[in-house]
Amino acid sequence: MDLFSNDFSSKLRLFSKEGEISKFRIYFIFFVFIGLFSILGVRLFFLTIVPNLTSKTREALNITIPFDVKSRRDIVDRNGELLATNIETASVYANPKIISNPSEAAKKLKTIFPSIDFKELLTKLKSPKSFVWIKRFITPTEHQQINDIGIPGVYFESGERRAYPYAELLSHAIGTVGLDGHGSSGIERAFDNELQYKKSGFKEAPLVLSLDVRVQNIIREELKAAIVEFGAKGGVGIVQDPNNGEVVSVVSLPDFDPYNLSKVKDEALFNKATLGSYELGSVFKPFTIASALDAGKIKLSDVYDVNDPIYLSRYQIKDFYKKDAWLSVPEILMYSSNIGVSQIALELGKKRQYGYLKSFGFLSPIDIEISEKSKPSYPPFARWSELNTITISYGHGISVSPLHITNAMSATINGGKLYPATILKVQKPGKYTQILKKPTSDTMQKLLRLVVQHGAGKRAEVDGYFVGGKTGTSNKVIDGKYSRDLRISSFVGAFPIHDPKYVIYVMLDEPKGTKATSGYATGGWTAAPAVSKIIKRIAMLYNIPPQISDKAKIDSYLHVDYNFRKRVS
Amino acid sequence: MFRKPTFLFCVCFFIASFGTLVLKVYVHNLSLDVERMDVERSRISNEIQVLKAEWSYLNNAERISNLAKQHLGLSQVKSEQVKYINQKNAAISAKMEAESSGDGGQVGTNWRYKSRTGILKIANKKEDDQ
Repeated sequence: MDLFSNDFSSKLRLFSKEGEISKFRIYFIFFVFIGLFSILGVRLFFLTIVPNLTSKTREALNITIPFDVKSRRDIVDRNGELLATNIETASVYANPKIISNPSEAAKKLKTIFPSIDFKELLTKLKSPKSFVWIKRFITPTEHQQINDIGIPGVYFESGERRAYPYAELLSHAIGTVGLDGHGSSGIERAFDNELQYKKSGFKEAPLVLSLDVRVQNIIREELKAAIVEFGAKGGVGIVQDPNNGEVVSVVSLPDFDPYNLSKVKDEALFNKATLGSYELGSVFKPFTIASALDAGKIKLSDVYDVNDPIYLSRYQIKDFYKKDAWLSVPEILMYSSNIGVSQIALELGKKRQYGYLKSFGFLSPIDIEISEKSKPSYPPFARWSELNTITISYGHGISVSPLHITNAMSATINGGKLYPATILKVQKPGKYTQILKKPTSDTMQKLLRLVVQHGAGKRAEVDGYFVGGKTGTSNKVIDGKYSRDLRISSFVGAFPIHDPKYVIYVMLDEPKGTKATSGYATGGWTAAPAVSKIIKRIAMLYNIPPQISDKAKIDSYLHVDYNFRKRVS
Repeated sequence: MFRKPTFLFCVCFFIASFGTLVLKVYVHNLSLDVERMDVERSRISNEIQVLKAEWSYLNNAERISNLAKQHLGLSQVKSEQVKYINQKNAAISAKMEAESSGDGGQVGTNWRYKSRTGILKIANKKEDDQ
């Protein structure tokens, strides 16, 4: 410590005296060595004991700012299958000022993107701008190919794109997203706000739909096959769970490739299932009969005179199949008698008919989350004539969407409960409106079973599944007139009808008769067989067993005495 | 020149400064590690997303069905091929019991013939007259 008490000049003097070993010199060298070894020691300590004390750099860690794909939530089906998601993708752009040989660059790019117009591309590359898009959303292979040819002045910009792994299969239901990242149709549009990320950071839960891609595939395959067989213009297939309103499948053909919208025809973009509005014909008859039964206006034992056509104004109302001069109520439905159901509708009356149609949901756009919905077309109540009452009773003079029919049929056979149709997975059945009495619904199950057992819907039958349903055929309205040759044929059915699990609707737009159908293109010949095939496949998929051992018991429960002739004789 | 407290103060100051430096470097490195992991998480998350999309595409029922038919000669099980033992149908039993309590008066006991009346009668009469 004495050393530190002397001042520095005196130390220098001691140092300057020749031959004298000063204390200072020893201490000085000692401290220098101590200092140097301390530095080495500390450094060694840092490098060995505390390696983290070496400051790291972004470059050393290879940290580059990532492209965070999180601007839109995923959409999944009821089983968690991914239906829509955002994935990272690249877009190619160029800086023409840097490109030295535009024609050479254009040639090379043309080999990678054959769909690009060469002249347009060359003009872009020769432009005086410093930024031109070459192609948005390229594939990883194209990305690699551009990297391989290495054109100076051609760059990539990371971005994200909505991917639809099932492409056409769900194109109408899921819809599409525009370049601005907002939904432009289908679920994407209807749930645009919900699908946008609200929180940054981790991914939010996906939107879970009621759709099942497996069922969707079955419906699309069978519908496509029917369209090909009968040379139809298009078609609709819907499967709904009548016990909660869930739409398990909704197909509208033709459909479209969501990745290639520029080449899609307008007709393919049209969702016939919800946006289409059609006069659907005799599939309306069950609703007329259910209304009249529910209102207590008719009984199953009522028998009507259907011998002659009905002439009203300049219209003639006749039956497609003439069975007998008199038909009982079950037979009117079984043989799809326009004359019979017209009389039932008149007994029901205009006011009640209007009221029931309203409660079935036919007088307002269908209550579902999809944004493309049609407004039903029907005469205003003030101008609702008796002729309207008659024609509407068998599905003419009123236009509704196919989903209207499916949803109303669900309510007709599920105990009379009208659930709002939904495309979202239902955890437990929601609120419903009781539109028919339960006995009416039970009776309708039996009548619809008769149609498949003995009536026009025979071809929808699947052994062991007790299918019930109704056919429908209507002539299309072209330029305000009913066409003689163009028709819409459909079938709406449910299985098993006494304990309905699913309601299935198939509609064919402009089917043509074949040799196999003896030239007929009615719902019973065209749509009913498709429903039968669908039921066979869905039943196996959902492990619904055929009820063979209980057949007699179920047949006895579903039996309806319709043949008044036997009883008379 | 340097007294003991001064010396101790210098040592403490040195230790504190050094400690702060060590802490700063440590925190800096940790934050870079977090950043790196975040980048990695984001990259993996993007990759998972792509894989999920590919998985969905590969799971396409139409594709699997075609492959099964083409390579394995498989076809879908038909309802005729299924047999159930001791099948009980609770739904039908409950319904039959409910049925015995009444049909809501919708069936009727005797056949009731309804001739055309009102507008229909008039309409057809007009046609007959023509």
